[in-house]
Amino acid sequence: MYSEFIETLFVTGKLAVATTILLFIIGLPVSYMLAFARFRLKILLEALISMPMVLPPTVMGYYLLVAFSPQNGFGKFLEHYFDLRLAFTFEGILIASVVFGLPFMIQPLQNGLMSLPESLREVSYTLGKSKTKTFFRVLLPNIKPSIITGIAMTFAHCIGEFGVVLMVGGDIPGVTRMASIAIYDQAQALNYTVANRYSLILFLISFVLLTIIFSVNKRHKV
Amino acid sequence: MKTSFIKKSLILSVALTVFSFMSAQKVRVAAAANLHYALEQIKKQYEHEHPNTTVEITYGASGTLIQQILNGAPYDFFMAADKDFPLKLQAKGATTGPIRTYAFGRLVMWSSETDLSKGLNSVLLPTVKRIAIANPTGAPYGEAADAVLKKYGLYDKVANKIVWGENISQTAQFAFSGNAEIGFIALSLALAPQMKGKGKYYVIPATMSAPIEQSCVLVKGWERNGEAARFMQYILSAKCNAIWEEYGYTK
Repeated sequence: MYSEFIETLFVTGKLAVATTILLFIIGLPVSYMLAFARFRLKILLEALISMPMVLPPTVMGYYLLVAFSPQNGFGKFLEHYFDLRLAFTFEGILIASVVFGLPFMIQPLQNGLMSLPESLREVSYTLGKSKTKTFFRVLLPNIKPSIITGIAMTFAHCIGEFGVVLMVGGDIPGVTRMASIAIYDQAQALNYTVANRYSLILFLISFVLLTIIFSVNKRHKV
Repeated sequence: MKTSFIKKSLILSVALTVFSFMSAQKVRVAAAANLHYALEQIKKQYEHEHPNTTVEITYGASGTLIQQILNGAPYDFFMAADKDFPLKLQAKGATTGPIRTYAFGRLVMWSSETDLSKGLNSVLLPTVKRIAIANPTGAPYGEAADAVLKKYGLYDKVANKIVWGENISQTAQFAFSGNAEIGFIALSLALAPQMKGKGKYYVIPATMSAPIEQSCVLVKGWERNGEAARFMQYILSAKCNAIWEEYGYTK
């Protein structure tokens, strides 16, 4: 029982860390583009990225389950060419949580970049710095609170994920069983002691992360 | 003159609606997920015979349902997928009256594409990458599947292929959607109109996995609703036999 407890927490942490890293890498160029580029249909892209904030996770779970199925186009393609099946795998829930975490990373980054004075970029360009250099050396260091917020929000949200993982995860111990699912299982089996232990840990992690976000934002506002 | 007529008819219609609501009876049933299709038919038949009664059914894993009942969910009647869960509920003092068995259900293997002619050993076929089983802690059909695989020494050979459904319906859906090649589900689901003809099933012989005794019990507090007891009697009566049979249950 005890090792299963640790194992489940480990899977949860692994998913949250992997999701956060991937989303940070994806989030940087996307938020830069959304903040500074002008193109048609930008509003549609923004709306699409924000969808997970309002969409029931089960909608996403349903679409993924259908997409992953080897009976359908995408799933068949993966199985045929890559011998890969995403339903009930760690990679599968990782994809799900990356997609579902998009707004939690991108919105803070985008807002941070947009709040910087335009002169900052212009001065850097005038001094002969390239766009990439300006982005990494000038812009990013100036939106540290947004970066911290994005990372903490993504991590916290990922730990709290339930619906999608329940639908496409398959509840495999040590692979796709997350703490949030384990709480549900244990409560169902009337093991309140274990459910309590998981719940307390998730409560504390979320509380600490949100406290960090709030304190960072407060300090930088003044 | 005209307005008073409208007023009167309005009052009358409101009064009639209120009256019909007061006389309408409601039975709230917590039912194991394997009952999904059969019980919907029984409900239809019952409501047809008792036009003033509505039967509200919530489906889920037996474990989920007793969890809800113990935490005060307002159900009158509990139909489990085995006998243990009603007994557990009784032990916690949450029931009244006797526990009665309403049907015996059978465990089957279901697949949309895999050849099941080798029986239980089909789980060893190389084409089988995922096997869906309902979570044994909450779902008796999952428990039965888990037990039969262990009994015949197959469990360890396929352990890394097993995915756990939250209840038997989700398990069926894993197999139905093709995300798992084989699903261990209830015969009643394999015979459901939604799944019929979409795949093959193999009934695990009774000698290997005994038919699952499914029992029901009235939930404490049902007394405020006399209709619940009548519905329980109906479930146990011969009037439902044809439906049970249609979905592969035996009495």
